Amino acid sequence: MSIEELEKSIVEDFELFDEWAERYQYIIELGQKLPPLDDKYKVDENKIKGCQSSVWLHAYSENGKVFFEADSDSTFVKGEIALLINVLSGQDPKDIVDTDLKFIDAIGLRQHIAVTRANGLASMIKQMKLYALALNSKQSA
Amino acid sequence: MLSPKTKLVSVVHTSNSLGTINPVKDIIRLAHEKNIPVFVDAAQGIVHSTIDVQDLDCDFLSFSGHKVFSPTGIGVLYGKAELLEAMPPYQGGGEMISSVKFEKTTYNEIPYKFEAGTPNIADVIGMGAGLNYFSSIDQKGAHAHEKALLKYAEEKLSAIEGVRLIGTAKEKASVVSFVIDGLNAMDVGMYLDTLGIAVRTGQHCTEPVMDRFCIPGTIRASFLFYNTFAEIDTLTEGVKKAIKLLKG
Repeated sequence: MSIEELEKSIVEDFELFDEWAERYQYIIELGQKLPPLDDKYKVDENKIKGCQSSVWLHAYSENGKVFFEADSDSTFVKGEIALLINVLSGQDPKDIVDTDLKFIDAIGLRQHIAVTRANGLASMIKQMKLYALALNSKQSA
Repeated sequence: MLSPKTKLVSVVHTSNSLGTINPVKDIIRLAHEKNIPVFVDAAQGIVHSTIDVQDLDCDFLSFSGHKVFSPTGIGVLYGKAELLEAMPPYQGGGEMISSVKFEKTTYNEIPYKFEAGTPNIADVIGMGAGLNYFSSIDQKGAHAHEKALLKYAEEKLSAIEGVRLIGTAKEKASVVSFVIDGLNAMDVGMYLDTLGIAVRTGQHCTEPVMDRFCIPGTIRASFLFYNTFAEIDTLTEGVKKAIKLLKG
């Protein structure tokens, strides 16, 4: 499925919940189900450090597609990772670079995270796009 | 730390991450014995304690308006007159000069010499109102109530399995910082958000303190005179629910 189709399906899932509290619980459930990242990838060079939580992001390419695996010490952030991986992992690097991930605003993720709890969602997306950009330029070179 | 190289001692009155009230009066006395001036950051302490700059004998003291019912982006810097008079202005502009001649520019008196340009008039008036309000309440009674709330919260929270209080100094402001075994502070904070409970989470910009306790961050609740014992019960119940949900 394309990034847009995957985003649409996430937005539909979230429409089942009226309250932010229910959406929070759903994201926590996604986080609890996220497969753990192999310890060998939990190294400083893969770490996106934040005040509230840390994220380890591992990217690799296979047959011209980009794949992501990640982990965090926060279950909520793991839930966000699960959503991002669902949408971005296995996609074409150019599509990853070009997407503006409209689903994040559509499911209310940004509005409900207080500035003081900025949890690195933006840095996570940036890092994923940077990996894709690097792999994309490597391929076109 | 008080060596011949020490120019200034800067110390927080009350720790934002732990609530510890530092023995600033003793610190000031020791520094003054060596003629070292002391700056006190009272941003956290101003609302939880009655602070008397003359009794402390501090040389400088500052606090933010928004910590005492006043607008954001404005605050107070107190300094002893003789020090302020000896200090050069840090910025030029209108109202800070008393006369300008080619031979000599004379600066205005304190505090004007430090207040270059058009001041933030509206917020000054706002802070005046905030401070007047704060001065009008029974501060002794307010602080006693806060102390009782702190004791109650510490008892209730530490009774929950897996909860560990961080910062248990004898002299403490009504701030309770805690961690929960196996849980990330932000996850708990965000869950409490959904219940309408406001706490702060993370490192509170004090990473060395967090490193000292070997923790990645804390959940921090703070209480003021308008808080109630029932609200602490709500917090305690919220924490229990968070543990149940997050531990799955």
